[in-house]
Amino acid sequence: MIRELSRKNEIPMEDEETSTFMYVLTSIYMYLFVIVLAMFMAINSMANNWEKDILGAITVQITPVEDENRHIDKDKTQDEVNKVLQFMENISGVKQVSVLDTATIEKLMTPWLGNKVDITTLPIPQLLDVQVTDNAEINYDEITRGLHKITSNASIDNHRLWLNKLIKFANSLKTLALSVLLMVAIIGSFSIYYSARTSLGINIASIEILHIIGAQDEYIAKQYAKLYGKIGFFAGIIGLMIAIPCIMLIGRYGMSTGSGLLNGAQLSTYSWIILMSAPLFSLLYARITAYYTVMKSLEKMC
Amino acid sequence: MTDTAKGIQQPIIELQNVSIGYDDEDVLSNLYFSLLQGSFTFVSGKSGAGKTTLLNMLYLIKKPYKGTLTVFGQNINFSNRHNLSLLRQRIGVVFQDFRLLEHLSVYDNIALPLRVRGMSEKEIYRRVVELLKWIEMYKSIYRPCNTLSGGEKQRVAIARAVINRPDILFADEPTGSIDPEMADKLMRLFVELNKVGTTVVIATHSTQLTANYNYQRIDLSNGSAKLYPALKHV
Repeated sequence: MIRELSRKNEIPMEDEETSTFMYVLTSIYMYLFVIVLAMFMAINSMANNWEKDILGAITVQITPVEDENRHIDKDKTQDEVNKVLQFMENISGVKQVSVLDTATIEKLMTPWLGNKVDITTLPIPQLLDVQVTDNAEINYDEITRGLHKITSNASIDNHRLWLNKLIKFANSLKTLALSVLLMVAIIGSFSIYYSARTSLGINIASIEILHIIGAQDEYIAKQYAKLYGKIGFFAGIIGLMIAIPCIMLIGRYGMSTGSGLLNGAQLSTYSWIILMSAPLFSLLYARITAYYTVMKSLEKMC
Repeated sequence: MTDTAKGIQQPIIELQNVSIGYDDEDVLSNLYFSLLQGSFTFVSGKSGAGKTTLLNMLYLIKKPYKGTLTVFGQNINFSNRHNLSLLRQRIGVVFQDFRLLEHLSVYDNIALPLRVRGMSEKEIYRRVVELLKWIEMYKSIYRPCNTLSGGEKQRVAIARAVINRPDILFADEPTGSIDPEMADKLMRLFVELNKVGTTVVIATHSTQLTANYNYQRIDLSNGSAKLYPALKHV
């Protein structure tokens, strides 16, 4: 068994510069492949997160009621908030309605007002966070009309308008990433095709001897598949090893922006498993491409 | 009971109106002959007469462009690549220039025909070692072939050709580049192989060699072949 594994290839492919070149080239392809695949999965996760977290929520804002002296009438405002709360709770598909407390609003306003301002003295609207059940069909126009019947101070923000544009953008990025993945795979198979054909040309004498001895095309093709599979696997590992720190670095930069929108762009355990299996994918892909290249070429050559 | 068992030898190779050449130019044309199972045949002719071309066709590397070539009862004109490979597994070839895979060891070169047939490594090892002892090269078992002398290379080439106990053995100018003593030893080996039932075909331009051994001879000249039977009562 050990002798069989350690035995030299009958076709001296590995001694050629071509195989060194293939190691370098495949490592670069696999680096690109892993990076773009990670990007694709991160964008996908981010878009799904938007769908789930942001589209699954509605914000209702109620501007404070003022008296004739333009002071905030806290009682009347609270009364309107209660009515709106009750109205929203009765809508089908609404899971939970909660009024954002002063501390939360203060936190939200800090980036604009700083943390030394007493917001209770300001005419800041009351915010209602409405959580919607998954797949609920909410009629936003109907809610708007209902709210207006209660008070003209209430308005609804369903996030959908601006988020739809972002989701479209994310989808176009996903398509772009997919096309890059496809392109890397195609170029990868082309390089295997031409490299294997070159090697067949160089080793035509050895191949002829193998044919005379009675070797079938499959026997020769398997030797090439074995070599290219090995190149694919090890180059895949090299590409992955270089790509992982880059992915982590990009992820860290993304997180450091503090943008809530980018928070969803995280790779799940499942995504990491997919990325880690890239060398195996590379092995299989290289093996299959090399095998069929050699089979087809031998049919034409001899 | 088979015909062979009854004493009637079967043709192992049969050519009917066969022509072969390169780029539409005939090297040999209208060949008619057959070689019987267990026969010993010399293919003679001057340099450039077409001996190697004929052998290339007989060991199934080149197809005739005209006529019918039958090997082991199969019409080669209608054989696909898969069948041709299977037929080649029953043939052993010793090349004039040995054509060993120089980057491989002696062991791996001799083991090739058995590996191609998918034999187990254990059985391969047993057979190769046995043969290496017979050709007195066991000590060189793991030596790369590019470090061997001409005589050693030839022994390895012969071992590779006979390791799978072929039905036919072709040798192209096997004595061309060795001294007379070694040539005689080699010829005795071919005779021994023939005695155990292997059909032997040797291409040579040496008239001395064909004169020393009384076997049938196919003489190639002017693009045609003539079969001379072995002389009786010699």
